[in-house]
Formats: sequence, C-alpha cells, structure tokens
Amino acid sequence: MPPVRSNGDGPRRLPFKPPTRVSSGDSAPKGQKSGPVKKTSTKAAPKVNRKTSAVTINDSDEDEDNEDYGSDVEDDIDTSTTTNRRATTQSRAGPSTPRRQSTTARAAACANPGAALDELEHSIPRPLLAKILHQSLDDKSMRVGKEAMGVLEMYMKVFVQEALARSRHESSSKAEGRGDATGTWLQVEDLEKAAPQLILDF
Amino acid sequence: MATNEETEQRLKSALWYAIGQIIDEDSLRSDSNVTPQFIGALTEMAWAQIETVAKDLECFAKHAGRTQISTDDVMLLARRNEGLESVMRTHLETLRAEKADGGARGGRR
Repeated sequence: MPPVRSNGDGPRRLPFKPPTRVSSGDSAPKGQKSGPVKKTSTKAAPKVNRKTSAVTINDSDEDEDNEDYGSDVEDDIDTSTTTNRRATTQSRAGPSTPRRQSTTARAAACANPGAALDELEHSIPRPLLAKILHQSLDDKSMRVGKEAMGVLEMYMKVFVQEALARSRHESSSKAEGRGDATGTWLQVEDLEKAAPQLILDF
Repeated sequence: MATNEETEQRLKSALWYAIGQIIDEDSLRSDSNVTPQFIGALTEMAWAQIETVAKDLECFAKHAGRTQISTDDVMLLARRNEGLESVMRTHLETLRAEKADGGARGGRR
C-alpha cells in the first residue's frame, strides 16, 4: 500500500518539479546528505531518526513538514519519492511489457550496432559458410584462416540482419502510406526494394 | 557435374534453414511475420553475396601474394562501410580475446 500512497502524492507535486526530477538522479545523495543537517538545525529531532531508519516510508510526515520548512526539505522528499517511483515503474515494466522492453533494446541497438548483433544467437553456421565459400573459390588450393572465418561469419550475420531490418522498414513505411496495420507480413517486394542499397553497402 | 549441382542444392537448403532460424528469432522479437517466399529470396541473396565475397577474398589474397585468406582480406570487404568495419573490428577483437583466454590453439584450419 505505501507505494500507492506515494503515487497519489506524486502527481500533486509533479507540475512544479520536472527540472529537479531530471537532475535528481545525480543530486540524490547530496539531498540526502543535506537533509539531516537541516533537521538538526530545526526542531524535529525524532523525525530524523525515523527518516534514517526507513528512507522509503516517509510520505505523510514529510508532507506536513513540507509547508513548514524550506524548499530544501522539499527537494529531499522529492528525491526519495522519485526513487520510489522509479523503482516501482521499473519493476512494473519488467515482467508485464516485455515487448516494449525489446523495442527499447532495439532502439538502443540502433545507436550501438555492436550490442545489437551480440544479442541474436543464431547465425549462419561456420562449417556451412566454409563449404559454400570453398565451393565458390576458383583456386581450390586457397585456404581460409580460422580468424578470417569468424569475421566472415559476423559479416554474413550483419548482412542477413540488415536485410531483415531494411525490409521491415520498407514494410512499415508502406503500411503507413496505406494507413492500415496489415504490414506485419514481410513480403518479397519489401526485400526487393531494400536490396539495391543493401548490396551497395556491403 | 550432376553431383556438383546436387551438393549445391543441399548447401542451399542448409542455408535456407540457417537463415530461417535467424529470421524466426528476429520475428519473435519484433512483432512481425515473414512469408516463406521472403526467406527464399533472402537465401538467394545471401548465397549470391557469399559467392561474390568468395571471389573478392580470393582476389585480395592473391593480390597480397598469399595462398591463405586472412583477416585483413575480410576487413577489406567492409572498406566502404565504416559502421560495418567497426562492428567487424570489435568482433575480431573479442575473437582474439577469447582465443587468448581459451589457450594456445593455432590460428589455422
């Protein structure tokens, strides 16, 4: 129940707090440090004890103190409640919406391609790739280094993934143009549209 | 010649299966489906790409006066794509780190 109450408190404080909330992640320890010092300067000694003992469950008391003390106390409360809220939202987002998590991972992957590629387990098996490669070689005495094979495996993995991603992009943009949501099936024509640039890039 | 064609068909179906697995894994993550024709088309594309790459690698190695295709030749494939090159370079570094950890096995097949 305490988190629910803190959520109820949250929206009320929300309108005039956004800028401090953004920086609260960095300033959180500072605020907590400055909190007890202030309290010793003021009158409420027992409240300090309660606060240090249970940092998370200090909603109602501090709401009352909020108006009496200055803005610094408010900052202190804000950091504690935002950390609470952040924890609850994280725990909530984890199990219930895996798809959203995967899309955020995908978005992060776009920024950092290396991380994304490590995620996919499957790739073209190395023996298969080696066989196809050797079949295409004109000079049969040509050998392939092991390390080179590993990098080539990565190359083909990126190739297939890139083909998929670009086709998906084509498909989604096509679906947006039509204004319907039936673009979830990837067609050959999507690949056909994506292929020329793909081949130029590889 | 007939056997050669047969092996090619078998290799192509193996490639089809491998690419199908990659696509399946990717489709599970994103919320889309893929037609079988798409998998076939992508298989053909990948096949053609491997063939092209094989000829390129052979030429690179021969130009360097070697009879073995080395990592440098593979890195040359990505010479026009900086992003791809950085991905492959990081992968190569991880491969080398694994090799250094895993013990002293030779770098040749």
